[in-house]
Amino acid sequence: MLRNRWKQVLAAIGVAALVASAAQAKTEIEVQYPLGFIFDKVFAEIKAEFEKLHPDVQVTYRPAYKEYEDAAQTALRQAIVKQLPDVSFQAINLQRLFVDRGIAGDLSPMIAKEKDWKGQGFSDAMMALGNFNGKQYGMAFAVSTPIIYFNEDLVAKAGGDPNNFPNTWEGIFALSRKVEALGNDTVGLYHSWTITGNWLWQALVFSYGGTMMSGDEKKVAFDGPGGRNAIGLMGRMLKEGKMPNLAHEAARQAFFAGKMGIWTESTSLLRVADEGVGGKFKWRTAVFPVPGPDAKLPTGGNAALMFATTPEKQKAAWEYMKFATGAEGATVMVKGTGYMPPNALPANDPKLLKPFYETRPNHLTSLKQQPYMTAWYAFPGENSLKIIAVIKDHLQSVVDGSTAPETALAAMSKDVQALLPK
Amino acid sequence: MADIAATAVRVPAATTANRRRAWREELTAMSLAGPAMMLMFLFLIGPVLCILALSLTDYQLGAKSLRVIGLQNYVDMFGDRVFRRSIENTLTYVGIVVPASVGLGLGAALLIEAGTSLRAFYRAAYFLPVMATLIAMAIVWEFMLHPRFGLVNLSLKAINVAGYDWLQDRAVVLYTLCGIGIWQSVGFNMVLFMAGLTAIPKDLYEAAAIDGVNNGWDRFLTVTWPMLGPVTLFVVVITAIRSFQVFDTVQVMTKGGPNRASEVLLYTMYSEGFEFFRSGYAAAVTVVFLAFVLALAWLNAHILEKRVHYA
Repeated sequence: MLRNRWKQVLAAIGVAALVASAAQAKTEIEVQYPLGFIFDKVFAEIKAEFEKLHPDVQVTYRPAYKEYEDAAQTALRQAIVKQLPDVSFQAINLQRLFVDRGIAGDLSPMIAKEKDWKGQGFSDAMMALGNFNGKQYGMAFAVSTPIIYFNEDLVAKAGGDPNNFPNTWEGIFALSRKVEALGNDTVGLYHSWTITGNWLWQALVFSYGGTMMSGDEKKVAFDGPGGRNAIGLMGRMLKEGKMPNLAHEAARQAFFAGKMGIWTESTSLLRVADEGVGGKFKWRTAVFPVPGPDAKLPTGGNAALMFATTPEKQKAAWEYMKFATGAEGATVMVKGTGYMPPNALPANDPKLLKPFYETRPNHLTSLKQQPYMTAWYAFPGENSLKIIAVIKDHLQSVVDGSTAPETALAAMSKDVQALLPK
Repeated sequence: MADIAATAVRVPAATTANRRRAWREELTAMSLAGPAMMLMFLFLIGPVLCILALSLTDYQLGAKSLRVIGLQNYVDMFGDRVFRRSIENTLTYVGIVVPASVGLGLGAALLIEAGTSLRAFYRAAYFLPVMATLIAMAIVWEFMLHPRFGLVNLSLKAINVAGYDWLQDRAVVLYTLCGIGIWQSVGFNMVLFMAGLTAIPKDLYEAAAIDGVNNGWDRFLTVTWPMLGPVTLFVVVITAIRSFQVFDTVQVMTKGGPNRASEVLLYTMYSEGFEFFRSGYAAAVTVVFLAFVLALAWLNAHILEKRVHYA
């Protein structure tokens, strides 16, 4: 009896040891990404597919960052207490924080070791989004441009033609007024200016041909003609477009509830909008107006950065980053969100995304805007996060009607200039 | 002669012994007080000195190096719109919450002490907000203040008064927070006043009655209020310091917004230090905050203490 019991115990120990050694052979990498409401499902699928291909790597996700600034702040704090994840997805315009502070790892040596790098579809344009001082730090994962969402039913009811949606602000304002006149708390237009990193402020300035800073990055340039047109336009959105002062979550709910005619947002919300609207009404997307000469639009989205430091984790992290930003990862991501692929291969591959795009015209709007894409600007120096907040404060004072647009622009450029490196 | 010589010799010997004893006593004293002194320096004075030093640098949280920039942080601070806003808001908050919560706390204590029924119940009810976690309560407040289906606006609607968007309207958000601050401190102040009331000797009231003080108001003015002097002073100072420290309601409910309308000192400190990582600047804000608190403590110790104690 007793001897048998001992045998059982020994056997159990043996099994446990075997399991433990098998577990040790696996490399675990920790990954953290932002915007859970958009990405949770996508990352779960990427993990499943990746682990099938790489049984020796175990991917663990940390709870998603709420949004982009929060993502950068969390990671910077983690860096101080040495609790960084091995791979972190950060906003394209905030990568610089991690490069300047020496937190993000240089990927160039790993790319040099790849056998068929050119054939893997990582285009120069997309790689440039993560390239700083000639070194590759970020791998663009999901990229976006701002587009217009509109409620077909409301637009038609207000006398507009959904097949001929206006592509000038004047046309949009006229339509917005008509939608607003339908009454019953219907909102005509909302421009999601609060999106992280002043993205839609940059979109307006760039669309008028302006820039954020002078070429040598010493002086604020958004107080030039481009910026003056852009801030004036925000004022006109209130007066001529009847735009209310809403928090952007409230605006999103209003659109999903069928209470808003025209909504400017990132293409990334296409899937969220599909689910949010849930077939209650017909909606469609249209291109973002680009009135200026030499117009551009900022590329939104995020990129994978490597924070792993040991060679073993770095190797596993690199495999994961390559998979997530490569053809298979991009296919999962595009189907699950509204972002554009960072990788050139899948859009034209009949096995990957070609059939998807053919049946989803809403997803094509952003692809059409590709010629306008330019970098999502990041302010230089150590105050870049504070500058983002300062710009937001001043834009808020325009949207709530408390400050005249030109006054706000002057104050904003003065405040930002004071925070730039001297 | 021999005697004198003997004393002459003996005196230095005695002083050495004395001195040695004194020295030993000093050593004992130091070794007894030492640990406490060391801890005090380590945890109280040291950090304050560090903050002072840090406020003269451009240190960024997690940065590997820093530069001494003198008073630049202070110059920037007083030129910063957000900081000025923050000071104004904090002073307004203190200016409203302190008198209101001290007055209401005193009133509640007097009423509860005056009656005899349900005393324990009232005491517990008023003390509830002090015991409840403010973060949890903040969420309850958020529901109550919701512009569409919040209890506050629904009640106002029932009596045909238009409500506000309490937490999103720039004109009212600070006053909303003041209201919550008052709600939170009244119970605490009440308990302190009740302790003060029980300490007033009964014979003073009897003496007053003999002197012809008959109605309640006169009794309050001639006996209760003067005797509550020290307690009142303590309550005012404690409430003022606690009001200067307002942070949790702001962090949970408004994040200093909309457009900095509810920005307060501690929130500025937090966002500069832990959101923008400008530790040097945040240290300078902390120094200003400490200056306010120290000024209050000094006022307490040197001016008011002398007026409320009757030796």
